[in-house]
Amino acid sequence: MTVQDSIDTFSSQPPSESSATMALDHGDKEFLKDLRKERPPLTSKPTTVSSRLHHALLKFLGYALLERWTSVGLLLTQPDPGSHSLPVAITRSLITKHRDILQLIASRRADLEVAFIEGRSVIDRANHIPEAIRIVRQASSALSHIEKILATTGVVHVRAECDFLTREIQGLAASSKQVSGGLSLLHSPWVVFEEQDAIVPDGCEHAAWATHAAWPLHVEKIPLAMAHNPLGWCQAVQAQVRHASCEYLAASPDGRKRIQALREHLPSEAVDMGPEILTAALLGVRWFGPAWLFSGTLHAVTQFDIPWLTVLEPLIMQAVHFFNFSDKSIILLHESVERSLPLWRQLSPQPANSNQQAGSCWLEGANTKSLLSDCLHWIEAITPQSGCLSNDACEPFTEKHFRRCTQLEDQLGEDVLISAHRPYGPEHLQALMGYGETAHEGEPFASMPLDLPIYDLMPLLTEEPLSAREVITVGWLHMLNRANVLLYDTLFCAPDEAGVLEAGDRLMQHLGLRNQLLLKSIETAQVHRMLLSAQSGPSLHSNSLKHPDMLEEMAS
Amino acid sequence: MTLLNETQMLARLVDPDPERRLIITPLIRPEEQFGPTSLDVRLGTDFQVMRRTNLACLNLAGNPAQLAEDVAKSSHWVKVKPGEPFMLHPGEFALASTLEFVRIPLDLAARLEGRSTWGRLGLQIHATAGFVDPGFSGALTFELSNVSTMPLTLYPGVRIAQLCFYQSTRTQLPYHRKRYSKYSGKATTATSAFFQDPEYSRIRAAADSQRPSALLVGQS
Repeated sequence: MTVQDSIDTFSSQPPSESSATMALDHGDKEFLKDLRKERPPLTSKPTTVSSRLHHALLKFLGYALLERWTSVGLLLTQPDPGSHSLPVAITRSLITKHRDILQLIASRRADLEVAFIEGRSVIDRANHIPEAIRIVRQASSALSHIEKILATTGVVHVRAECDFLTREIQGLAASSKQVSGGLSLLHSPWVVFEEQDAIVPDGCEHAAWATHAAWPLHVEKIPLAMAHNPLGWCQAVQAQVRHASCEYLAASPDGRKRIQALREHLPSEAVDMGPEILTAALLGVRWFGPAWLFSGTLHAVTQFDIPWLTVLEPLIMQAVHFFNFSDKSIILLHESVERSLPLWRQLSPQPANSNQQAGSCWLEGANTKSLLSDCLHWIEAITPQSGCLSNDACEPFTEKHFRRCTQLEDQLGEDVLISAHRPYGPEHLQALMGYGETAHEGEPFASMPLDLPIYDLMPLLTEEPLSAREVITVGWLHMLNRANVLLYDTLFCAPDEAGVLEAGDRLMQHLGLRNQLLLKSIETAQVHRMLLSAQSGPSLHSNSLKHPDMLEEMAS
Repeated sequence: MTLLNETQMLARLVDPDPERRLIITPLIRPEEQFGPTSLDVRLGTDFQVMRRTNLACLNLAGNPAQLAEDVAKSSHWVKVKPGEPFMLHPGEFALASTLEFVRIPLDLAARLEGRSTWGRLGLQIHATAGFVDPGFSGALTFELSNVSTMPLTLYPGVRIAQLCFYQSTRTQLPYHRKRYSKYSGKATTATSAFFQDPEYSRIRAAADSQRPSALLVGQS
């Protein structure tokens, strides 16, 4: 099978046609179990969708590398307008180093093809996969080096748009005060990316839980490039969520008991995991939806975080199911995590745990499932239902929000802003406006009634703003569904190394635009929300004040 | 060319054919934004103001990379949060953009015009470039100037301008496919990319070819 054949086969048999997705469409909760029964041994050739699933994660990893490469490139070539630029000589040298990384990747295309495109088996051709991983790690380490130089020589500003996400969380915190025994994030009101030293308390530079006496502050360090890419922001608020989890567990013996009971049923890898980590995983998915899963998985894969992949990923996946955020890309990612676990265990620098239970097998027991369900109901009950910014921004991330995200994914794919959605589809207005079969034939307005009550139709055009986490979720869905194509386009469509560099520039342009759209969407939605939430004051345009005579009457 | 009325604009916003559909998002309060032949658009959050520097001039025929650097050096970006004002002082010039993202179908063109409400206060929203080509996609850039004697407070989200749409026959050369188009797809305020215009490369080449003889003349 050639590379192109492999891609074609993958593209021509979209997972939507698989039994897994069919079952998903019909809302069958047992489809994951069925899929697992059907799947062939890992050593088989990737001829069916299910046997290729474990390669999705490798592609995800490959794409993640490109995404990071792109983000660093954008920092170098299109500096943030608000930040001070680096000295020209340093910038030029970093740009050269940056291109060298892609050249390194391009020079090892054969090895990467085997892993990422042909999808050769993990077990029987182990020599190929670690080679690909080695290249990825080498490139990642070089990127980290550039990021470090950027962070130490330039001034990095907190993105204003990220404030909106944190304000949503603060809104949640403020509203939680109204709930008895509810969550509180008031001790950690700010998320700070790698910033100037002045605001980081002494000795706390590397502490994710640092608290300043005068100004309560949690410092979460995330890669510099990800700070400018909204898809990386879930990592930035992890400390907030963990802190909330700690606070609630400390105040709720009932919650502590529930989580403890669940923990006892987890594999041994979870023993070292504090109960607050488990609660945080469940809270995160409740607030941020599947973006929490995507972001966490990407982080775990790049960091070889085996406990996360073994324990937390299946737990969050099950929570995703519980909250009904199902989507084919989520299923693919989860299945690929499970099937790649032996590889990650093999590659992990930490000693292998004696417990070799793969993935979510431990979740299949009825007792564990009911315990998890109990915990999720408890999470559901304690999550505040109203917020200070708006109800929608702070209410739990539900199936309704996820449905909006999946609808808007195509819009982002067409490079259109996704700050708002229209509750009424175009078909409502099309029907009212007389769009029929003849509408396309040169006279689009021919059948439109002349006495159209225009002001009655306009509310149907009104759009509602999205929250920052919805925008980020749309970004993740978009990224996940297009990662394979972009990876292939960039690395393997070019005839030679020079071609790869050109393709890299195109990818940078594409992802730069996507990031710009996501940032602008978050910002625009915030303005939109402000305009809707503000109470209108007395208007001079109101009918009672319109006529000058009436004003005179009022004056007299 | 026909100027679209409110019903025609509305029909274009929900056209079932994606190629004919006009995209303006977000539409926050359509009943406030629609006029008989225009649609109001709002002010965004990004501003670019020129600042005083030690640069003698922007040498249009200079090295493009150096020019880009000089442009960045001589301008200052301001991001205004919702509910905060941007102050435009008398005589000051600033670039800004629409809050809305606009995509014009291939058989429509648009004109960006100021609103008389703001004109009466001395605000001009564009200096010379109010025409929007078919196929344009992105945020529209305002060239704001305050010609009154009082500072103006501009808040993100205010309706500051209006768009009028003209129907034409379908173009074969939409803006995003036009060779040398510089501002397609930009979602935020776009600074001038004049140095990318092709004539400057010719001017540079001509200037380079004249330089040695000028030196010789100088030496003689």
